[in-house]
Amino acid sequence: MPLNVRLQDANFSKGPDAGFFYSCDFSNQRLIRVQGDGTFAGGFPVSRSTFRNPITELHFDGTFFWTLEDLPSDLGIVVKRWRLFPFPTAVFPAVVPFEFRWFDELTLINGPNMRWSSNAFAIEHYHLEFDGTFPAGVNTIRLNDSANVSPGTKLYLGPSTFGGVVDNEEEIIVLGVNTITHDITFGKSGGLENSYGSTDPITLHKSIYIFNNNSFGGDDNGNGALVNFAYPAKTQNFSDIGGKYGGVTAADFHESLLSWVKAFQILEILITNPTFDLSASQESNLVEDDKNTLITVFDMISDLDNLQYLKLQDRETTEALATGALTTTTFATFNFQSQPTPSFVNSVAMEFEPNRFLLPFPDSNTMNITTHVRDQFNFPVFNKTVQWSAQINALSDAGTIGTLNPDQAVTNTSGIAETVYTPSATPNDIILDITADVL
Amino acid sequence: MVKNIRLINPNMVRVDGYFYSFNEETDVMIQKADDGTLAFAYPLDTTISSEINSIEHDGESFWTMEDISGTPSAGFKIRRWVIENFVMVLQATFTFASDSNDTFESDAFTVEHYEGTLTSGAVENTTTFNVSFDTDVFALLTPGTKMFIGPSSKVGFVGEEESVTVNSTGAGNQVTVSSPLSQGYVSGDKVVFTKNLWFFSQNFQTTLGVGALYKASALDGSILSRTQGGAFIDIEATTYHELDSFTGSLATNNKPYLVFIRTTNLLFVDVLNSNLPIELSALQNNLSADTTEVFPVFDMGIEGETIFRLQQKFNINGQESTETTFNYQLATFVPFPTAISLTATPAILPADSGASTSEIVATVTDQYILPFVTSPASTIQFSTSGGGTGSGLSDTGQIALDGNGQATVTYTTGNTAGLVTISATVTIA
Repeated sequence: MPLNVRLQDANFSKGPDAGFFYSCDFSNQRLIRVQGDGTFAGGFPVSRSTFRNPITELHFDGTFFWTLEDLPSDLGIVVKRWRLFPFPTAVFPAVVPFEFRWFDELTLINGPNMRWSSNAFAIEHYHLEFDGTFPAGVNTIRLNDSANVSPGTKLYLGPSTFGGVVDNEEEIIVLGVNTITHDITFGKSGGLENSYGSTDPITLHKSIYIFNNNSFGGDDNGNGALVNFAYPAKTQNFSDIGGKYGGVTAADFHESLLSWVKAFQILEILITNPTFDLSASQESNLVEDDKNTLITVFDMISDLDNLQYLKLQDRETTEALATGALTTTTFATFNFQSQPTPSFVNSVAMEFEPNRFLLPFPDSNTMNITTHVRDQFNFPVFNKTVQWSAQINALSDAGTIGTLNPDQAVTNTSGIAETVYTPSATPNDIILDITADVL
Repeated sequence: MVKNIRLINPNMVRVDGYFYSFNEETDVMIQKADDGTLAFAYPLDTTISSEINSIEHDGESFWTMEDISGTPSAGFKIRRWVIENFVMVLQATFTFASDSNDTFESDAFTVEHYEGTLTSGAVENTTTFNVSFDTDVFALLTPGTKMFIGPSSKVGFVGEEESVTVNSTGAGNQVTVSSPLSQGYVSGDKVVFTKNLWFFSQNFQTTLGVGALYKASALDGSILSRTQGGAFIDIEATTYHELDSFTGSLATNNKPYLVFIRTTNLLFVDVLNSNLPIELSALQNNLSADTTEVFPVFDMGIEGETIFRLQQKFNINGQESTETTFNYQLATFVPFPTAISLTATPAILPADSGASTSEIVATVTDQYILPFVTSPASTIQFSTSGGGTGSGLSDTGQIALDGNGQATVTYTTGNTAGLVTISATVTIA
């Protein structure tokens, strides 16, 4: 992994300024902003609260930052909501932020029947847009979608692109929703404070998902639980217990898709699915070059608009394309590695029939070789060319390699390509390595 | 160095070209390719605290064995898991905790299961179909037996699978299940059913260190039988396999076996025989080059006639190596010649220039210590040195081995007294 964001703390997110990454700096009690190459591009001291422990995860919902940290003395955990402050409004336009201001928090205290141990959380939030231009003073606006909007929902409007009020923001509380036209009304005195252009952004947050390493029975059994709290009500909506929620080190939310890292995989759930069944799981290159040791992901960004996850790690395994050799590099800082979401070839496995042993040598016997090609989701990969080759193993006696016919074939819809090995006419016992490469 | 699948846990099973292993630290089942590349990982819906000693796969479910605690003699658990929506979902846990009747201590178990095919299309929403098995195990399909059907090849249902419960059976290998099929199938689609669990214990009931083989129901874990035997002690690797590697007169050995490794031998128990006889024994090469050390085999997998022995120490062509991870060494069920014994009758002859002869008999045996018999017959070629002018063999060409793996030639004396060496080389047909 080339060094990129070079963070000292194991948390990161995107933020209000596109192209920058943000991270909570525990030692200096600030939010820092860095460029993609790690160049420092600003710091915002915390205000109205402090980090009492290192931030384990940082998220940005389009308006607010959210942090997760352990409470002191094993009391529990706390999720805090922050915002870069001040931000431009109708009253105070043309201001620039200089602090990282605390706004609210959800504190979860350990009790006799419940213990909180979490390294991952996510904010259910949605990005909407204005559907049309709306001037200051109106009490009705039209959104591009109202599926997650209901009376009482707080919407964060802006930054505006409307001339004269550029970058201004404000918030409103929804009174009524027309789910057909997506018109919403709100009861703000004087109506909109600012004018907004078509497609100007609107954000809202609805709930907080906490991955607890303990089950809800309170045992530290690693079974894990996913617990959802309504926000801002902070009441528990539901929880689901299961091993897939234990030992989670990173999570994020993107357009109804809750994603998290469990061991070697990125798992996904569509939160609209009431059964909590995974909608996808992908192997995510989280193994060192010994092909065993797990690489921890400390934080992640669901950058799914760009068809990728960004995984914050202190180690990375890369593969030399020419040789296939793996190399794990360890860094003194935290950097991100991209995990693409489009399907790509991730594993190749072979079966030999009738036997891995061909008896005798030589013989008219042949060995059918079935090669399975799968992607990172463990699904078959169609229409990939597989090339087979054979070489004498270093531990083998000398001998002559037979033939592979064909030496190339294309995978079918089951991700399978087949060839036939015919031994040589040389009557030697040999140990043969047969390799399948996907071209 | 023998580095292939590079597992960090001493448990492994092979299914459809991939290797699977459970890891208690990350609470996942990993899926690896031959070179150790991680292909996928399935989180466990129920976490495990002890290392898994052994894994089996019965065509539908994965089964695991783990100790109850850090004290092996406290007993163990056998669990059944299935993959659902990318997660390993626990279906059942059978706990074998030591008590006043049994001191359970085991590192190896297997699942008695049978694979067959549908012989008539099983239509969706019906409850009756016909099946066929390689071995006559139809009588084992008693009411309540769980049967797994699929994947389907029927248009509209391709790839679908389901689990059913046998309600009754009838003539013509007809099976009636307790609820209608939810999918449709065609003749030739696979069916599997699981019957019993078999595990080795260091102890027979509460008698310690004598070895025993236990049989338990795969449905509820209840113990069905206990058999004491010294061959059943210190077993770490076992599996269940329908052997189909013998030909000719030896084809009677082709049947289902409980297969396990005891030191350097692969032993085969016929569990369909209530006496549980060990009917075959195949020599393995998990032995140091100087033959003083037996290399432990921790688990084993099967693919066709190939055996994957999970080991940390290896002897490949006389080169030993020890790995920090667990990797496989290959072996085969297919008989191959491992020994040629030559007898000469008489063994001492006068150097009388052809007046005396000796019958030379070669007996070729395989890893099972059975006569090496193939179809068509393999051949053997004799050669000789010493003996002087006029000495020789009646046939120095390729001679077919008979049904006992034997071939005979006649040695005729020459005129020089001294040591005569007769050699034989087998060519496999």
